[in-house]
Amino acid sequence: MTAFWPYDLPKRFTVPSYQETRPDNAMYSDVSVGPAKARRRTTSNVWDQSGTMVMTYGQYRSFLAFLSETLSDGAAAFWFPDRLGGPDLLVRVKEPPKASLDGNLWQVSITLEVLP
Amino acid sequence: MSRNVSTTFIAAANAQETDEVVICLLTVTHEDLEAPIYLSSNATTRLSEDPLVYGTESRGEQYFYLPFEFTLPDDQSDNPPRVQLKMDNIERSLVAVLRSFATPASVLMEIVLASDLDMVEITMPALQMSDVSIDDHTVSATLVADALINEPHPAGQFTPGSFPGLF
Repeated sequence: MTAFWPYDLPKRFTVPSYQETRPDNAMYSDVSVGPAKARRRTTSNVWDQSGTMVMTYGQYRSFLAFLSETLSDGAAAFWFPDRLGGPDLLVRVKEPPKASLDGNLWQVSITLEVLP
Repeated sequence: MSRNVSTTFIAAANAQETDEVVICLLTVTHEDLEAPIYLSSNATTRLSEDPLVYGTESRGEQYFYLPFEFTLPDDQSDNPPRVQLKMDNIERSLVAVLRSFATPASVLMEIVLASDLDMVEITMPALQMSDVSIDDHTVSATLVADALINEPHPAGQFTPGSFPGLF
C-alpha cells in the first residue's frame, strides 16, 4: 500500500521557501525561417516542488525513519498534502534532504517530484 | 509506399502547434517468452499504485511505460526499413531477457495518437531486433524488417540438383 505523509510532521513548506517548477512538456522543432513548430512532449509529466519545513527533534527523527524505512531511502512514492487544497499528490523525494539546526528546531529542505 | 492515416494525424503533423501526442507501442515476441512484452513510450495513465506502474491501454491491452526514443524508418526501395530504438537501462531484467535470446526477437511497432488510443495510425510489422548494444544507462537496438532482398527468387526450381527424386 502506498504510504501517506506522517500525520505528526508539518503539512506544508514554509511560505518564503516554497517553490514549484512546472514540467517542460512542449517540444519545438527548429526551422530555418519563421516560428518553430511546437507539440506536446507527453500526455503526463512530473513537476517539482521544494521548500523548507521546520521540525522539532522528535519530528525530525520521525521524518528520518519515514524516509529510510517506509520510503526505502526515497525510492518509494507516497501521498502528500496538496498545497492548493486539492486531493493528496503522489510524490517522491527527488534529492537527499538537507537539514540544519536553528536553535532548537531543524530546518529541513526537501525537494519532491510530483508524479502523474 | 503510402500510408493510410487518419485526418486527425495529418492535421496534427501539419499543424504549427498541436496538443496531440504521438505514442509508440511495441509488442515484443519470442519463442522463449511465455507471453509478449508490451511497451509504451508514454506514461498515459497510472495502471497501478502498488507497485507504481504507468502505461498505455490500447485495444484492451496494457502497454507498460518504458521511456524510449524512436525514429521512424525511411521508405527506400533498395533497403529494408530500419527503426532505431534507444531506451533507458533502468529495468535490469530487460538486459537479462535480451541476453537470454539466441535468436532475434520479433517486434511489432504501432503508432497511436493520445486522443484515440485504440486507433492504430501506423503499423510496422515483422521487425526483428538486431544490433543490440547495452551500456550502464541505455539500451540501443535496431529493428529491421526481414531482408527479403537476400532471399532467393524464385524460391525453388525443379532442377536435378534440388529435386533429384523427380528425375
